[in-house]
Amino acid sequence: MPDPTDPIALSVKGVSPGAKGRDLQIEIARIVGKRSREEAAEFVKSGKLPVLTRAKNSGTNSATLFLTKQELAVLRGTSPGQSTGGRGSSGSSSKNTLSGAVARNNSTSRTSSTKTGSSATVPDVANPGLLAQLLQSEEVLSFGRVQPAEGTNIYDIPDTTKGKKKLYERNTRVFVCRKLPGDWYFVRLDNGDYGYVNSHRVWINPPDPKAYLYRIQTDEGAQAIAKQEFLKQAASQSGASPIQWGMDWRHYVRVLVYANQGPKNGSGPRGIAYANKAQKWDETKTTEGVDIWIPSLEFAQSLKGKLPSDSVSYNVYQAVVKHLGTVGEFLLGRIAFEAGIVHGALESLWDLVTGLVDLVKLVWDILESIFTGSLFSDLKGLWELLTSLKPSQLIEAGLKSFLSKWNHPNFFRRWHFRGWVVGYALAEILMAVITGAASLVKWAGKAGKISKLIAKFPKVLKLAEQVTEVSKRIPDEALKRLKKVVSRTPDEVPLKNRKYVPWSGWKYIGNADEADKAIYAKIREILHDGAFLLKMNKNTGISRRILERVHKHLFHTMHEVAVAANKMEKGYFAPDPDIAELWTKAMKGKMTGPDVERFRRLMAHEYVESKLMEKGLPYRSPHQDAWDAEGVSRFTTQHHGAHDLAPHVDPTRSPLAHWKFVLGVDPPDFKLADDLNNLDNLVQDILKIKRGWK
Amino acid sequence: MSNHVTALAERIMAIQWKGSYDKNRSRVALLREYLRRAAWWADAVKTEQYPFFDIAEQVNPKVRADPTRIQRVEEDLNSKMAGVLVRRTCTRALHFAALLDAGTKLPQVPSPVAQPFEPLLMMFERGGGFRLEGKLIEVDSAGVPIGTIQSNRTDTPVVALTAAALDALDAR
Repeated sequence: MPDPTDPIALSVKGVSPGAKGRDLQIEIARIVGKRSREEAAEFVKSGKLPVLTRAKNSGTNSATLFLTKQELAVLRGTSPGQSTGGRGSSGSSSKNTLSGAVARNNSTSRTSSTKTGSSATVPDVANPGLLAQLLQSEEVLSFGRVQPAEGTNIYDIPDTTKGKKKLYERNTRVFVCRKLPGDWYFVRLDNGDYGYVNSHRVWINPPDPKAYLYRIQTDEGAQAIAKQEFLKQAASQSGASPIQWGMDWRHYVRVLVYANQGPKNGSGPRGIAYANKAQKWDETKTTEGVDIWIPSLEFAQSLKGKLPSDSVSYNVYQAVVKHLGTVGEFLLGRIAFEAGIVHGALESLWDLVTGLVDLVKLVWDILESIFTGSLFSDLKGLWELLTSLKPSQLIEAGLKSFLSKWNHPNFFRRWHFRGWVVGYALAEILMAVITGAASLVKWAGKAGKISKLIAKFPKVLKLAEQVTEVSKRIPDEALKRLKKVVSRTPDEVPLKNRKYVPWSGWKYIGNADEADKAIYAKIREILHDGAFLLKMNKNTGISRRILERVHKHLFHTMHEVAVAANKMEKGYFAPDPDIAELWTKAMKGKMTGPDVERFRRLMAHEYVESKLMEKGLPYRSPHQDAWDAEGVSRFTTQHHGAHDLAPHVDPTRSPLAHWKFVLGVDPPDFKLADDLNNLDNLVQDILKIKRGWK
Repeated sequence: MSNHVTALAERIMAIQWKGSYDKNRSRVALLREYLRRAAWWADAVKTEQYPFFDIAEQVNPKVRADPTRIQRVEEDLNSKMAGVLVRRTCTRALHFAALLDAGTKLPQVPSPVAQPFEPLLMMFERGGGFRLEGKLIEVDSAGVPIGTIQSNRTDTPVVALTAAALDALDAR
């Protein structure tokens, strides 16, 4: 059944090209609602439809507006159930009314809790540095809630001084997609907006997606809180009492305790906990002024009979999701799915037209309007289609290598990844269609495996038709440039550069052995499994902090690397057989004596290299003076990179001996600690000496 | 019967892997000579797995060096902390030596490049291994471009494989 809160892209034809502001709103109300001009003016004045103020004039006698089906019914003057006919039939082209139209803004006000502020934010595709940073940042994939009592600003760029902001009230739900340096989260809101928020102002890892924050009042005990909040929830739902057989207030108090035992937000005490090891419900301690999670009533009730012996574990959560069934799954997971689609599409676009900022922006504007307008309005169909795909179909399509991510046990990761794959493939297909590189069917026939699979969906064919229509508006010059870029895909791109199958050996700088590529793909798959770091730490004695950083540096960060004088290439580090071997052994705990030292030196090198690159050093210098007549890279004090100054990996040599031989200068007087925990001091020493070379 | 394999195994196990940086020029030249020879061989056996590949397997996969001997050499290299690529190339050199011991007919290549692994072995003997680094190969701390089969398949040797010529390079 269609969701009345689904967003729709409304394209209204017949408006005056210059109309804007209130005049534009009146014209839209007149055309869509078949009102007289006076009636339309009255309708706008009544303020019944605040979303009207977001209408944009696209020129050439048309305007666009994103709104929900409910809002469309108000605009048409029909009840939400009446989609067509009578007075409600649209004055705009019926064919185009509900289809994708070019627009920048994807606001829908679906469940907005906005107080004030500027227009909605979307990933800033016109800022290449920011987009690259975003795409390479750490995935979080967790729901969260705005925590401060006064609410928090969400910005269009991660900069409090330059960014446009919008205030969101406390307890606004966000989906945290990624974490960026400088304590920023990149979030998606329930109303479809995107933005950046200070990570300290959002609590993440709620016990369930509908959980909200509650601040404990003076002398307020656990039972009082449980009564107040669960009764409130029950009243807003069926009205049935939350108290049932086996679920009295003792149960709800225990639910509160367990729901607040998960990963901690902030540095203060927990707001609610058992007073002692006896774990008596009536000896629960609460702390005034501290926030706690109040889980949803259905979550609380799903724990019936499971407390106190079981902890609130992931399995419990999974059980809850299972109870909710397919429809429930979609409601919970759609935000992760949507975020994945947008992320995948952006990454695809970025990979295809890297560096051509104006082209990225141009194509993104088209894709975004179609995604948010047409695709997202019937996202459930796509969701169900993906759910129905059997593992055998994926294997048949040659996608065995990412089955584990496709079926990831974590609900949000699973759907974010599926969204990512869909978004990536769609963007590729649509780009090809926009530029006329090939007809959809012809192109899909030559495309990568996942694109082929996705292209079979009838929905994709419909989207392609819309894109073809919209692409006619792209200026000839831009289209020419786009064609040139896209003409490289798909079959002219060397196999090693194919990007259709995520994490399976694409965009490496240089070639590598297929076996090593396969090992790298496996290592990447465990990114989200924090347990492996713990295991590696146990096996090697090297701290998780260092291992985690090196993991990102080697396997998950795209680098720009000098491959010859004045020649840079962008991509992931090509699989190194030593790293593939040692990392695998370290994970499995199968290191022998020599392996331990080799691994330690490798980690020291990569950690220091990553830190120096963060400080602005290139990997190697591209300057011509750093390359000899045979094209061999030989660094100097004037032209060098992070790789050159970092400790050497060869365990038979002193870590910094190359400094003296190559540069003729004394290296820092430094001894690597056994657990490598003094590497930050070495970085400082290197930078200090380096400053003297200028 | 297996003179080439035996001699090569002993030679590899005698290598002093703890090197210094003062032989870097000659070691870079030896690697570049290996890249040249490997390019001829890649062309001869029609492989694209350049520059590090199992020539013997391409010529005749049924002729292999004795696995026990291979294992012994690998264990020795591992105990001396040699990297994966070094171990792989030494093993492949042993398999190539097995072809010679078996009198296998080899593809035709110019005689100056008939011994593909010799420059690499000499490079190891002059002080340590090497590492793959994307489009470069790291020797000590220098980054040597790998290039392509076409760009490396040249007639002129990079350096004469004599101690005098190599020492002269390092004395520059």
